[in-house]
Amino acid sequence: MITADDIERQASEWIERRDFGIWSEADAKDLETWLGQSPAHRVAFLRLDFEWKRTERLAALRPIKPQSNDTPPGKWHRTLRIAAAVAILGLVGGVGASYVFTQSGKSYSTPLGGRKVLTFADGSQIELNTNTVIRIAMDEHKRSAVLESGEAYFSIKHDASRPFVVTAANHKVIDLGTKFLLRTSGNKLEVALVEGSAKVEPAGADQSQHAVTLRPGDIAYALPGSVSVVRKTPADIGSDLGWRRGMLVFRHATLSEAAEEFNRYNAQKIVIADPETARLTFSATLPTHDTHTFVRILSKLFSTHSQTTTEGIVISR
Amino acid sequence: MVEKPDSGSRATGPGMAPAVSDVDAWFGREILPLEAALMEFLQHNWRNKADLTDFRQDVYVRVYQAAQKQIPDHPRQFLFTAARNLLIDRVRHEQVIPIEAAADLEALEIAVDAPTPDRTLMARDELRRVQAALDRLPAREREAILLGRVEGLSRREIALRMGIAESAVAQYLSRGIRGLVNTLCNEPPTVRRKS
Repeated sequence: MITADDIERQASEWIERRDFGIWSEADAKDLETWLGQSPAHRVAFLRLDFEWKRTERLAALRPIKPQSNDTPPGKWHRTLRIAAAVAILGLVGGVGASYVFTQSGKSYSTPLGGRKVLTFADGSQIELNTNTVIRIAMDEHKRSAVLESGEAYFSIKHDASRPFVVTAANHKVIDLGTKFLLRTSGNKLEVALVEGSAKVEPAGADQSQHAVTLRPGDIAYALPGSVSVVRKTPADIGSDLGWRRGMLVFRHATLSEAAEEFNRYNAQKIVIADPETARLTFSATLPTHDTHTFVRILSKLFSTHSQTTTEGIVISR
Repeated sequence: MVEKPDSGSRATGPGMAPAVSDVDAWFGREILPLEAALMEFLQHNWRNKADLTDFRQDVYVRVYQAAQKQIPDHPRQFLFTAARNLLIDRVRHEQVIPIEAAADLEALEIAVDAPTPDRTLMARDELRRVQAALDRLPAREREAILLGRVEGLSRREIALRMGIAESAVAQYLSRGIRGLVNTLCNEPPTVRRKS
């Protein structure tokens, strides 16, 4: 008897051939025949193909061609050595001070639950969300920032001679005329592109990783050694920006996600007691600081109980 | 009363079967996102876990065949009714009714309405999920998939890059596709437990 597993294997082989092998019209016809043989074939194929296509956005992450291909290595070496010598000379002289200043910049931060808007001479704005630390260096030669932790919304006036570069979690985000949202914690970085375009690439010198160019609606998710991209709807991106007006927007969020969000803003933490409860989903727009309304809504929607302990407000069913 | 043109499947009169491409699109859009919930339901109501993949296929076939005649208005309800009917058929077929199966079949209506995490609705999680699914593949399969999907290489180029035979690459790729899809479909969204 042919099992569902057998059919699934055959379906995956068809997809593999179509996407990675040599594929002719005759092959396409053969596939049609196979699909027509049994509805079980068709549903197995549809299921794999539909889900497999969800990973298609991974294709946006093309590798950068190594530059050394077009330049003889010897010449490169010399140029680099000269550049290094100039840099050292510069550091010794008066230029050194401004160089160092540019590297470190000025530090800004917000406390838990805080929010701050920074406006710069060129008209660019950077809006800091709760619990955020950022260093910003702006002068006539370069514009750069290091997002140490937290979340910030960047609205950058494009200037081709001074591209704006943000570094966070070992990745660089280079603005190409842009509004974008950056969120980092630990070694993770999330970049949501709202308007314009921006490039994400590893910050280190010699990494075999890829640069990704983001379009509006793209969310890049960077971990050490990898970047992946998915698309969101404008509504979803809008939800992520709710904090700019002091609101948290949940669209079919799980309780664990919602609790995590509230805990970013408030000292009194919300703890979901068990995985079952944590998996419930809901939609709502709530003020970032109003944990009590959140707790009340949960008890209405799901008949949850809440208990205030030393850990925080514990929600259970 | 004027029949609105946008009233969807209802506008399709009896005898006018929907186009194959419409059924396929509907199936992908409405039914597949419910797979995690469907599997949870089947698991909850059936003892022998080895049967579940075949059950899933049978449910999908039933739903798909029905949709070929007319696309159902309430996909979720339709899917779970199909699942329930299948379980009842199987229970009858097995003749010996497992006690817990019989007991649960009474309560199925309630189980269907219980809130379950909807995979499509977890857009926030999407990236993390694709990433996590990739990470869970065996190393060789992941390497082949990344070379194919990210770098856009063909099977032949992947074989050269990995220094193995094309037939081996084909195996890694097709297995990788299955592994990825099964993780994406069946994994409940990651729940971080606070302790």
